Amino acid sequence: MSPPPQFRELFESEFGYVTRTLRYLGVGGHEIEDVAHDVFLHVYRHLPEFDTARPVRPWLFGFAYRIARDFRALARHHHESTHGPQDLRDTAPLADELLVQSQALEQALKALDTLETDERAVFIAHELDELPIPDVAEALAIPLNTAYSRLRRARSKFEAAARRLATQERTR
Amino acid sequence: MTHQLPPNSAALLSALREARVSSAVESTLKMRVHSRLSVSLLGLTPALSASVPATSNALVAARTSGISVARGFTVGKGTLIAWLAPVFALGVLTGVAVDRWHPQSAVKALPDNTAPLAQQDAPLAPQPEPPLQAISPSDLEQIDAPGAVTSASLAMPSPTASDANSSLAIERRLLDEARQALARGEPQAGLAPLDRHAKRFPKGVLTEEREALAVRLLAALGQNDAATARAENFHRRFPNSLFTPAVDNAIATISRRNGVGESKP
Repeated sequence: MSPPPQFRELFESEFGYVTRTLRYLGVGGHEIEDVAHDVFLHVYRHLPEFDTARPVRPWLFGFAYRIARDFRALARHHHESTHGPQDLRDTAPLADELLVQSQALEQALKALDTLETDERAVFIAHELDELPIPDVAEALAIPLNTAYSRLRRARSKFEAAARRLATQERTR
Repeated sequence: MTHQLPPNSAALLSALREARVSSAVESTLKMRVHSRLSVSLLGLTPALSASVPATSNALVAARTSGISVARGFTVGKGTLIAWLAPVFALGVLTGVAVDRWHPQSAVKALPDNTAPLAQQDAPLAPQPEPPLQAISPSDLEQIDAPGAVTSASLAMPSPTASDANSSLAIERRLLDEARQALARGEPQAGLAPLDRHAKRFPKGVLTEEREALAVRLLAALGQNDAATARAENFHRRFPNSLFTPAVDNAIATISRRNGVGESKP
């Protein structure tokens, strides 16, 4: 077995992938920093267990998904009490600033927002990262059939949103 | 599974695939996350620290000072708290405790098989002088609030589920013991577990973390020469370490202490 990858190298090479994934999973605003921190904290802790025979991104995706999901769920309840005044937080980069904005991207993110987090994760892993569904199921630790059904729902919602957005665009 | 997306969706999907990252924003974010990681990995585990006095203010202060901290680690009593706070605040906010996945690592008792190895007989480093007043302990005590962990479901799959007695688990326990000694304000007590780790796992996967932690302990003990030597060795062995900022920070505190003319006991 080859030695586990060095954390620093992994951090350098995959930070962009992780933060983009978090953004697509719906982590917004200043939270992207907190969530990215948490993801890499867990990656560090679990790195020695990583099976080097396997690709690293699906493994990272699993962490990103679970932490983003739990963070979002908790942040809904804690947001008011745990965040400071807006003006003092403005120095932290915003998730929205991470990607160079374009109209198509803005619409795509809106369409993604219509998906539940669970559906979104399957959709992103499969459609963007081009991970076969059995691998998606494994990365997310969900049954294969669940992965397929989430993908179906996600596509259907995404397509509906895309149609709606296109119609709005034409009638504007 | 082949699936032809309708043109609208396909266009939006392409926009997601081809989205360009702003390199300036990404590098700022990366630097901030990196700096926080280096401290959180060597600092208290979130489980220790779910109740932080004035969490929000500290969090805000840490956020706003994140970049300067990354550059030079200006650590005073207040800023240390501010700097460590996001880690703890994050623990509160997310309920994420890294040790949830390593519940055995909460440093209660070491397994029998690690105990007999050198307890006090082999100090981690030469101990030239009695400890100076350490900078961190009293600060850290303020946030030492065991048992206040919020819970959240964060059951990560562990690809090769680590057995409580696996080498890694034992390594982790030893380092956690040292970390928590530092957190309790008893850096002296942290040296023995690190020494046991060095003896038992000379090429352990957590060697880098151990060496960085040793620098912090020695610096907290006021063993300046030993800390500096160990830090130099650390930089030679691990030139691109995640822990470089934390190690530099520990050395910077020594310089600051000396710089402001605090006399040694």
